[in-house]
Amino acid sequence: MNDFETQLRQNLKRKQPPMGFTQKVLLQTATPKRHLRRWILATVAAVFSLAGGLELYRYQQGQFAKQQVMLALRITSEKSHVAQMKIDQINQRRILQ
Amino acid sequence: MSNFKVVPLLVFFLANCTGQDLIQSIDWERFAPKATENVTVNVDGFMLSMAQKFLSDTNPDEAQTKKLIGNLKGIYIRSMKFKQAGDYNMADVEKLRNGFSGPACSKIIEVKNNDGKSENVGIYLKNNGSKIDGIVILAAEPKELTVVQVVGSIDPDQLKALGDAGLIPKVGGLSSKKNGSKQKDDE
Repeated sequence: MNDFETQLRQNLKRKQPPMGFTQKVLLQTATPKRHLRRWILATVAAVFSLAGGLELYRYQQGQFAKQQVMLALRITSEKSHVAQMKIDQINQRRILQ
Repeated sequence: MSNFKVVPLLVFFLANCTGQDLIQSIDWERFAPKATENVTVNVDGFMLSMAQKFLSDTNPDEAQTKKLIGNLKGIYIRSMKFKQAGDYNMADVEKLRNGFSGPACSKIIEVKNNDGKSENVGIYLKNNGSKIDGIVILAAEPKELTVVQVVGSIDPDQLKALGDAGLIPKVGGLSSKKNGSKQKDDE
């Protein structure tokens, strides 16, 4: 057996894995699952954020609509009051005549 | 303005009185040059339904408003304020009035003053057979011109409720009459 063969045999000899090797391997194989979990969490968060944003937008739109309606009714009421005053004036004038 | 110009305007208004939103067909630019304040409120059907959802049932004012706007399809307002009396032409207001007097419109009240110092008001109903399809309020005050159009099917009870809420004037039982027509001229 020459030196080369001895060296080769030595190099190819079964070796004991370093400490924590199994955990490292298991951790590496579990990584895709962790990624999937992250993706699910991110998607759920995004969906909730979107739903929250839409709800906020809807709420703001509703509040704006409510304010506009109240404003419209207030102006309508004011102008109706002007008409009412005119009618009352005419009625009073007629009564006095 | 010559009759040649007035006729198409009237035809335009009459066409509008039968259906489309009257207020949006008015040429407001005519009044705009001297206006110091210009208010536009457009509340369409979608906004009304949105507002209805956000109006409280427990707050009496909001509950009443919710009930009032129930059958309405829109409330459209244009209002302009002017620095001094006479900044807008009464002849233009007269044209507006003519526009509200189409076959589908009933004149309920019309108060005219030609002195330029008093208010000119008019209330007009848009009819669709025996139904009321809307109300138009025209208030031409010396320094302010306002047109309010309430669109939507309004039943006599609702008309009464609108009167009770001060949104339309009460004239000797007008609120409870479906097709009542009263005119008052104070010229």
